[in-house]
Amino acid sequence: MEKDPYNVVVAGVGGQGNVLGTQLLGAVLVDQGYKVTIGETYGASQRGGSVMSHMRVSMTDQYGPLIPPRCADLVIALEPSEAVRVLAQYGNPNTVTVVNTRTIFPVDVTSGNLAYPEKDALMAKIIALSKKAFFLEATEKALELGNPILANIIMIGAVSGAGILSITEVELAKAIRENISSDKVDVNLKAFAIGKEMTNCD
Amino acid sequence: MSRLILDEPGKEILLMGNEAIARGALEAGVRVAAAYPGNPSSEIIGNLAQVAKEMGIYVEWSVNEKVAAEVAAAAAVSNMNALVAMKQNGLNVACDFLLNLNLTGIRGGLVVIVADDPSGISSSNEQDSRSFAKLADIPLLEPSTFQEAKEMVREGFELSRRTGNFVMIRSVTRISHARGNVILGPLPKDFPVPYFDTSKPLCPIPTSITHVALHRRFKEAEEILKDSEFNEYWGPEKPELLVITCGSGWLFSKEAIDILGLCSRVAVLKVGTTWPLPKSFLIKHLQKTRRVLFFEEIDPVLENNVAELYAQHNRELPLIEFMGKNSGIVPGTGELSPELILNALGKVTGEAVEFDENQAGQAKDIIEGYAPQRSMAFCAGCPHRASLWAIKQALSLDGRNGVLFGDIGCYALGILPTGFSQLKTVHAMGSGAGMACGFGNFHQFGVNQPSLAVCGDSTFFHAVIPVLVNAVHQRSRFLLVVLDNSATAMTGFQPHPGSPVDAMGQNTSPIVIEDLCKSLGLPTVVMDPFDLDGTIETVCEMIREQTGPKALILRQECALVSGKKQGKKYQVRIDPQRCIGEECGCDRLCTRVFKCPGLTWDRSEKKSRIESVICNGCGVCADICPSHAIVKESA
Amino acid sequence: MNHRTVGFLARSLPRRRARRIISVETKGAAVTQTSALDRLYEKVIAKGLCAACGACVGNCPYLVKYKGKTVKLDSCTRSDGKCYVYCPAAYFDPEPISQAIFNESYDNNGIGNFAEVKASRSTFDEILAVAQGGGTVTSLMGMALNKGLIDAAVVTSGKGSGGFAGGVVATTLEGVKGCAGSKFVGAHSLDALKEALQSGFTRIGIVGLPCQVRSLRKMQLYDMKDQDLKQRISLVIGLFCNWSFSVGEFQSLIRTRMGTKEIRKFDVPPPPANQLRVETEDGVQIISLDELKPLIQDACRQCPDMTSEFADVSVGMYEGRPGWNTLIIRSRAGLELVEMAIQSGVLQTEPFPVENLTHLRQASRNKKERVSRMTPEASGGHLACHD
Repeated sequence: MEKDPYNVVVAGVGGQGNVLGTQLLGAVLVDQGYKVTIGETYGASQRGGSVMSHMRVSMTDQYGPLIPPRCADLVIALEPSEAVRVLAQYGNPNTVTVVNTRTIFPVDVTSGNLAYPEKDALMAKIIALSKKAFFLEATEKALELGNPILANIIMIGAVSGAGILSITEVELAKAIRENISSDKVDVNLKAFAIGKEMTNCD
Repeated sequence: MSRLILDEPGKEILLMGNEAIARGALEAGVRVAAAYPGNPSSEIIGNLAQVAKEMGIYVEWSVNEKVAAEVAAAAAVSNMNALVAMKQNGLNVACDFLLNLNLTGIRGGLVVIVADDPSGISSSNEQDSRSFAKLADIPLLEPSTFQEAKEMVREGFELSRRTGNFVMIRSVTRISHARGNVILGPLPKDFPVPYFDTSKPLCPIPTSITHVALHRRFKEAEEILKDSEFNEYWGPEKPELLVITCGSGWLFSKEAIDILGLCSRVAVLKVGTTWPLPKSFLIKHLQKTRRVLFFEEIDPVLENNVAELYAQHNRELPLIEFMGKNSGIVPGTGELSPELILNALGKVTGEAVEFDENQAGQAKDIIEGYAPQRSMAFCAGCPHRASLWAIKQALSLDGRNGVLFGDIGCYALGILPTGFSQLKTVHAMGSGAGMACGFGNFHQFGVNQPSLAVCGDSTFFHAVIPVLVNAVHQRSRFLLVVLDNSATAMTGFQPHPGSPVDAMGQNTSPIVIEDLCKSLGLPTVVMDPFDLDGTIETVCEMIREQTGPKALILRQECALVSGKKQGKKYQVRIDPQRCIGEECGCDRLCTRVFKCPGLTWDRSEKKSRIESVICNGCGVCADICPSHAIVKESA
Repeated sequence: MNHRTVGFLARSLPRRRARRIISVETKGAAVTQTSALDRLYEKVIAKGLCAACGACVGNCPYLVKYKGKTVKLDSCTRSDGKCYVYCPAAYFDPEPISQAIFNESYDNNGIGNFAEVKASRSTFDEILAVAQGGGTVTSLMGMALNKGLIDAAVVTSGKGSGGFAGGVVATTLEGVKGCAGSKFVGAHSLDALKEALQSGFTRIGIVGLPCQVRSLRKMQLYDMKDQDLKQRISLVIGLFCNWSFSVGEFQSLIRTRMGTKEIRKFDVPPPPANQLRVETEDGVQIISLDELKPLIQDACRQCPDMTSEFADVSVGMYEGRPGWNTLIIRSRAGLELVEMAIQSGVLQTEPFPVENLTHLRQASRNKKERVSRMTPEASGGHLACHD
């Protein structure tokens, strides 16, 4: 880790598999010997609300389950407007952002009461608020695999592919077996590989 | 195999706070565990239920918290270790029993876990349950880390057995629903033999004896806990400021002091044994400071108890400035956060906080511009939307300004515009029915507003049955609408007495809600809320002329469950030729008013659109479109 | 014969006019942004001024008829909603409408603008057998359908959905005959106009109460959805009406009294017009009007129009001469219709005595005066009359 504690926010919308994705990532890191703390917001998670997981990773100490303002090192956003929501509060000039570009409109937008930001302006804002930003069509790739929820693992793959966190297939497979079930390993490893490929351009 | 029953002492794994609590119970040799689901406590029993068979323990989802406490107590008076878990509201339900049980004591081990929900993130109220320990004269432990959550449960059982009374452990959202490293301990192989000693009945009467005995047991607990390692001190020996905290405040405070560079000036004293207080430990450290700042969630319980202790020992102690909720430096309600602690510490020590109000304002502007708010709404295809829509239409048609009393559950969203603002009250489990039962009997005062209540299927069993009995006896003219989605959906789909399986996955005979209602003599109708017209007509008809209580069961499976089980029932699409959008004669009925997230208003095309990834295919919107532009085809 | 002789204002005018009128109505442009539905609710429905004409309910998911009442189900954001613009109780300006139909200023003499008043009755026995008075309305509508002057007729049936009176679309004489007879209730029957328009009929004849006639004329004038209403609403036959009952309450009272017996006919025979005569399958029952008066719609107590002053022809009872109608011919279209009916032997007419006309005019003026004095208790024997 480049920093201790290393702070990760996984942001998205209820039903995107945010919590489970973070849990797998955390399990891998604990196996690697880190002290990991994960805090979740969940109240509205099944009802279209924003969901945010805070993950604290440290070699030495157990940290609190919430990241202090402007202290996120990595933001993994499963939805682009959620990336901005998180960056505005937790981002700093050194924050790296990995964004799934697929939008999920809030009910306030689907109902016509609010407008969703223009795509280009939204991307520009994310870039402006990040040291480096990766944009991925993770949901589209997940749909090709047959289930949009796999976008969460594709994003973890992308984080690994970009060399931000070092996670191996073997470690992830173990975490999936222990935290979900063995029969989910194959499809998730496929998703992981796809994500890894997407950012592994150098 | 579940990670929860790994028999590898010393292994360090990532556990949720509630899993750590469950593991602690297993390490303590728990035999019986019971609860009624309620966030943030639900996963404790949920996890124990999953390993019940392998571990040979008995786990149940009880009908309510009082019964859960009684079930656990039955084990704890029979030489077994038992655990009961509940959220703060649940404690109130169990309270009547627990405040008698404390007087009789137990003959085994009983740990009562109460998971509070500071800021009411998934609760109707925000209640600091810690005051109960003082009320009941029982020991209270408060974990600050995931490891501690496990250890406190384990030691809580030991304390309970040693003192012959139950022990309360207060968790909070940021412990129960957070995850962190936990080092596993050994799992026991031998268990005490269950036996109810019939020669010694348990009775709190006369209190002149039992209350005294209770105080004696409490003193024993105080003695045992006085040097507990759950109370910790971190920082300089003679700090200019001493932070006294507990629960989630421990990790937040240490980090904030570090961030602000105050490590040489500020110390933290963490209280794990919140009641009775570790008196000598506190006095020792109070003697070495002049300023104390309290961080705790919800009420100033610790703050007031320490102030009480200070008053009792003022001759041994210097003049100390106490700061916290009472002085207004810390907000008087809600949960703790790093931001709150940074700001309060900054204010008290004069250190600048990096994330100031200016930056917060900028963040707010950015969010407003680029991250539209996400109001809570029923899921796409949720039967509650259809039910509340039908009730809304029916009450409008009826025209007598009927009142829909509600309670807590997913359907409490019915108080918001996304639920058509139909619920007019939200209080406790089943209280909508109780209030409607009362309101339905005020015709003698000239009240002619129809009285209705909604409750969920799980809530029906939990707290509504006595209301129906009362309503029949009092001839109250109210209509109970049971929103039966065949799940305790809000807390994670736990089984309830209407389910065909129990917590441990064994088959059981489900109680049929309509049969129960009919057996009480209530005119009872069962409808599918997706049949909007039929439901509207039924509600209108049932409330038109009433001489006593009636029941309407609106049965349709939770969309999250049905979606997983059988996929979409309909493929739904919008015929753009027919959609008249904003024009007079529609004005976006489906997106603006019905507000199912599966429907999107396309601003540029000025037409509605189906979001195929979100749409659950219930097809209800096709029946509300005035232009017949929404087309549903069997999928 | 040309039934498109109704001369309306230039096409571009109506929408602008509607906006201006809304703005005048709400005293200032700033208020025009408020929802038309909210305004309708506050001004009309909540005040009990809805006469259940049905102009709004056929067009809107937020306004529905239920047991004789107009019910608002939800909010709407349109500031120019048809609900408000077409509502006869929200506002009504007789002048532009009079100009449009009669090509002259509104005549405030008591019974409105007219060309001629006659006594009339049908020449067909089978119509007379079911008719309330002289069968004039049924004969005229039937003939209009037979001769192809209109391709559909919107009339009020006593046997609508849920046992409530309501509008139906008829395309044959038989269909029109089935709807003969007074209903004495506000029946939302204009909602059937939507059905007729959606079915693509291009020449629609409508029978309506004064409130409904007023609404129809507003629809034609403002035609908010460019439905070519000034052409497609080809013939408007108005009925005399002094008041109507609220259908929900009336229906439930009648059912309490009559049980499940089939009702054949309602009548309030004059003079002294103080009883409701209910003809059922097994005889006649009498209900005192005093008992029924509380059931009269508040809207009717505030309506100044007894004779459907803006219809092409208006038809009502001929007091003292059972089996005959009073027929007021108003527009050019009305004149041509009646001439054709006489020529083809469908209708028999006689001159209407001057003293009867004076009496009719007085009765009509009395209603206007009562309204202007806002004394809703007063009520006479001139009832909603349907043929």
